[in-house]
Amino acid sequence: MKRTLYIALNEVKLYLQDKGDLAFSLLLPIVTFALIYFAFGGPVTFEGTAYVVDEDKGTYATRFIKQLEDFEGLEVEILTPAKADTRLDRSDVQIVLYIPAGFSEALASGDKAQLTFRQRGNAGQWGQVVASIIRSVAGDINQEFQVRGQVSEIVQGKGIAEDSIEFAVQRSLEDERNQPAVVVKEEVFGGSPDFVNQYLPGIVTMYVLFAITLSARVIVEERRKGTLERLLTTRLSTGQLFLGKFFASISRGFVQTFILLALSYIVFQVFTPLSFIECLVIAIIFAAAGSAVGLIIASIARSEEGASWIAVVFSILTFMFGGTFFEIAQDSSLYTISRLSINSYANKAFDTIIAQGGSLADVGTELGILAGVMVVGLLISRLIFRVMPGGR
Amino acid sequence: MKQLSHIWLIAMKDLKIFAKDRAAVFFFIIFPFMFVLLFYYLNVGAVEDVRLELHVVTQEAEGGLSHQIIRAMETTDESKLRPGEPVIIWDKDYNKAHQAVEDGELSGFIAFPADFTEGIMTGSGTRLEVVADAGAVNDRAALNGFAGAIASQFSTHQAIINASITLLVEGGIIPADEESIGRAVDEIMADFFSGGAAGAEASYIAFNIEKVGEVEAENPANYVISGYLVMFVFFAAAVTAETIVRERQNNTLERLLASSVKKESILGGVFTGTAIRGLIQILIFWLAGIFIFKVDLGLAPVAVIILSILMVIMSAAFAMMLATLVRTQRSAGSLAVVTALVLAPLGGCWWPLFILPRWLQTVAKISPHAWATTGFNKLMLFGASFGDVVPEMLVLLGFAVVFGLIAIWRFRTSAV
Repeated sequence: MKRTLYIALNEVKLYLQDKGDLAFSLLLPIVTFALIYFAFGGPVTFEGTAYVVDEDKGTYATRFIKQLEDFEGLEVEILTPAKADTRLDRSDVQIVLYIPAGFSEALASGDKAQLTFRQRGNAGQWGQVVASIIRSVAGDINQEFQVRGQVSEIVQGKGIAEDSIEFAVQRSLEDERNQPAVVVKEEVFGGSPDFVNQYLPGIVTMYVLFAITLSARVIVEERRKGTLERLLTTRLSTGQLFLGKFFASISRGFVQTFILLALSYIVFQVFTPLSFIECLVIAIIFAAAGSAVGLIIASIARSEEGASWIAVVFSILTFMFGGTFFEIAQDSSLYTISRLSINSYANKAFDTIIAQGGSLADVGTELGILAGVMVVGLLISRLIFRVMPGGR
Repeated sequence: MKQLSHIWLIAMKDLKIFAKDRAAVFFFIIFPFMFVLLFYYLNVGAVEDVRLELHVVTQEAEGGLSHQIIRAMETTDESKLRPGEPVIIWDKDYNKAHQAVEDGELSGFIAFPADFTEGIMTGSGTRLEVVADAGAVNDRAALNGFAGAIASQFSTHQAIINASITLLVEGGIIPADEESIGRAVDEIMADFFSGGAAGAEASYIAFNIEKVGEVEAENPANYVISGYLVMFVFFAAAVTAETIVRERQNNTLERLLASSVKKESILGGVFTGTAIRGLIQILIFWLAGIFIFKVDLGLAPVAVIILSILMVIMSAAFAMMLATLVRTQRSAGSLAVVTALVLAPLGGCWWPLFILPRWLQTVAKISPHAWATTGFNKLMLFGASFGDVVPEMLVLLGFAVVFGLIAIWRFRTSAV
């Protein structure tokens, strides 16, 4: 047992000294999580594109488009009428704003002007929001004309000069811009903590499994080069060597998970001391199940490349069906397939502890299944494990 | 001529090795389609073109101004709404609505405060509250837009009142005492609210809506296939770096030099082999895409093909560069996997780039993947023409040139 543990310890030491390996197993999950966090986890605001056909090109049309471009989260794409029609026909865009010729002229002469939305159906959710933004920006431009028009109407026939009206209107609009009569205040609920709970376990388990299964390549390499066979000339037995590799893989996976979870603890404060320890227990059992699979890969692969391909394909399928990036609905056929993925059990167990405040007792089934995978995997891999190509 | 022959022979040799490696063929040809199938079926579905539902609540007592406003806005008969107009729902209990948002059962609502009328009538100002779930991006934006429109209307009224009273007082039409001003303000306000919809008819900009058809469901294959094409063409090329390093380490490249093959021919041969493999990949991707998944190549299919070819050339150049930058086979393998797996999500291969925050879309542009997927999305989702994606093509070409130049500069046949 002492020799077995020595092999494991030595592998962990080598792992911590190998910069490339550390980068792959620690930096990559951090980069992936950061990417997904910044992509989907931060404060989310609406971002859309307003497709505009400007057939007017006058002062007010240009000003209107400029104001739309200045609206946060809105991008404006100017289309020709023909392009807009083609895109609407092909359903490439759902809504297009047409500024007709004469728009600016009508407003400048104090007449009413019209804008046209050409759209498919209700224009989809994005289209409806874009339309509401366009209406709101049009409202700002309208304000100036409406104030001027209605003030002129109120003081009509009272002998007040036009320039006095214009001066009073501009001053009043300026005051209103500086101190509006009604302000909009926003109160928002929800946000990043749920996001951390949703993605953190999946990304950790994905990369731990990746690293563990890819290390099968090293065993294949050692077998091909005769390193494993040479080790048998010491007092090590095949069983001890096998167990040594198994414990080495578990230790490596555990160290990797420990570092990633500890970093999450520090950065996101998602754990209590107890839940952190409970998660480490899950991490050990998951690493053991993954290691058993890694040993099967190492036993069946004939070349290093073969081991790499099997490990990559297995890991990718496992994390995809493990609900790493998306939730799998319970009544779907994907859910049935996801039951074959060990990541789905580990992710569920982590989620129960971290997000739902559960305890190890609540994840007994998941841990039992992972332990079962470990036992069956170990039995199979021990039966087919060879220390030399085609040998014993 | 001899050099070309050498390039061709080396390329064919690499292709033969690839064709014999069943695991590699599976990984780069069959495996991507498992992803395509998975995400195709996850995203395929009937189109949903429902109206936005905006909830409104007031904390004022009956008789307040907010009751009049909400009553005028509330949707009583959805069939009378024009296309795209939101359904306005009047929720009676503020606390219940607030709790529903906190519990994630309601996306959000607009609330009028208890002193709304007082704030408007006295001119002291008031506020509208938008309570929303951070994740309900569309509803949140619509609620803010709607609340902004109401606020803007009141600002307009206030500006009309202020300007009119100033002119009436300054022109000596009404006395400057409080009572006369108050009476004049009441008259103007009564005029605003007599129409019910708070001056909507007085708007100088009206909107006309023309419906040109129904919203059609997007074929998810249009973005799923292009995303995984970019990812796996790059991935397959990147891992070639490992083979080049292995051949350098076991002196195969040096032996080739000894047999009168020039360094340029070796580099050209490996590049050509990688590029041909990429071309086979894109051919299979697009044929399967067109015939099985019915992808729509858009208005400029030629641009889609050119973009795909440029992606292949850039990926092959990257593989050459990577091989010249690393020393060991293991580093080459690890870096190939790392770059492929980091640049794929960053560059919009796993999810369309346009759904990400704008600043992240800008960051993503450091990756060639982002330019390729943006080009494909423009062509296949938004009906772009050839000219619209020329910038993406030029940038991909630029990446290929830079990677290629570094590869030529750093290329060594000896491991020492």
